[in-house]
Amino acid sequence: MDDLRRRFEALDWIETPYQWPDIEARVRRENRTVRSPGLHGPLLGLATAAAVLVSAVGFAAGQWLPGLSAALRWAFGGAGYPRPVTPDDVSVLATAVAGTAGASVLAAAGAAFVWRWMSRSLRSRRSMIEVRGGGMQTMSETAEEHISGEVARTNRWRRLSMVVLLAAIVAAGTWLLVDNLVKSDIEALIEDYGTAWETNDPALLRSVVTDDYTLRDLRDGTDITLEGIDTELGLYEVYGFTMEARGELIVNGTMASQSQTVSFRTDTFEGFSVFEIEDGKISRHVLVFVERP
Amino acid sequence: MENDSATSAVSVALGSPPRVGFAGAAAATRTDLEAVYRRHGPRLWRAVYAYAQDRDIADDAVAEAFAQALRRGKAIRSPDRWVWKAAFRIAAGRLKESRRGLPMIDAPLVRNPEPAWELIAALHELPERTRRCLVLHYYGGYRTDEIARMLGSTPGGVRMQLTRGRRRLRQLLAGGDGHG
Repeated sequence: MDDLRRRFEALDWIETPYQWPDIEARVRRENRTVRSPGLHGPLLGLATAAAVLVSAVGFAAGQWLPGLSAALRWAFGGAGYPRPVTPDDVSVLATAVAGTAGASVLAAAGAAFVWRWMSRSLRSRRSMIEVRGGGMQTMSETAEEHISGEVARTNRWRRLSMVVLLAAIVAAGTWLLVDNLVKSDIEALIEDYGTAWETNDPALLRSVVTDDYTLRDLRDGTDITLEGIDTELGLYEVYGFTMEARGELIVNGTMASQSQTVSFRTDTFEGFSVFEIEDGKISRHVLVFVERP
Repeated sequence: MENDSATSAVSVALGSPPRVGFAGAAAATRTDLEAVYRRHGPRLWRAVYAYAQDRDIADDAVAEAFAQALRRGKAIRSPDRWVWKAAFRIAAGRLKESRRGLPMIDAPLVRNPEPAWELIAALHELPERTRRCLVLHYYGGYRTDEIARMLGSTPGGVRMQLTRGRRRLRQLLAGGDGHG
């Protein structure tokens, strides 16, 4: 064995470079690329956590879409999603605001996330250390193929982030669209209902109300309730009225409400109607008197 | 690359290779690590060079191993052993990535070419794993169980590599058929 040991000692004749300055330069270079502790990361985490929390609250309270829609309406105009039935209700308003805030903060967090990946891509061009398979590997500045590989990996993450964000936007847009189409159905239903009363069209009225449909008339301290479609049809021509919308139709779940001018054959008043929707038909209509013009 | 005459021109005395060790190894401050480098860096560089047979890889592996040790600081209990292990792993990774044949030794690097040239040329003919075992054992002074831990192998596997490597290396050195 000693013969080989002596053979290997011949390696001691090989001159070696003095690398300590290079070693220290590598450490300094790495330190420059390591981000100093700052508030950016914690703030981003806090914002994301807050966004998830308020979004969850908004979603759980059923006001996520109104909040998101309000943000879109503010940004792009248009009808957007209908406002809550009871806008003065603080809890409803609060959840709507939470939904809006959640959507906004989530969008900001997404943008910050993409920006962070882009920044890391730029930094990775300067200095990178790759740890692989439990071993350590260095990547010298001249190893362009390594840099290309790292940049490709970064781009892959950036593309993935963009796809996820795009999918979220498309999903939210689809959700809004579907929800607005549902709202349009209810609007059409109420319009057909008004037309049926206005034109004295029993067939049309039957098509838009349920069999156990009730009409409750609260006017001047009176409280008249007509129960069943056949009861209404018996008084149809006598009781006929027209409804002229004075405000936006407000839909919340199975309830709809609208401020109206209601004209009977012998009377006209301003008030509002509350409709209860069941299986796509009106099951209950309450006429509430406010004042005579 | 700078050469330091204090470290590069001095060859280690003949005889049994020094077992690398570092007194008070619990603390790897910059000064401590620089002392480790001055004491063991040249030998480590030569070992990596004999294994990888590429000056760039040896430069990079040794410098990066010490740089990583410096970054880890006191987390490393035995810096001398750690840099040997790290440097060989880095060099192995670089060799694997390069996927090219070993280059021939750069002649001007050798002050007294004859014995070193013969050894390097003979090692050139051996498989990579066998070459690494031989260098770590005969030049690094590591035992078979220590080499096994470094390579993620078993002592038996390392002994087998050493047995084959010794036989082949002796043939190459005796026959002079190891020159590329």
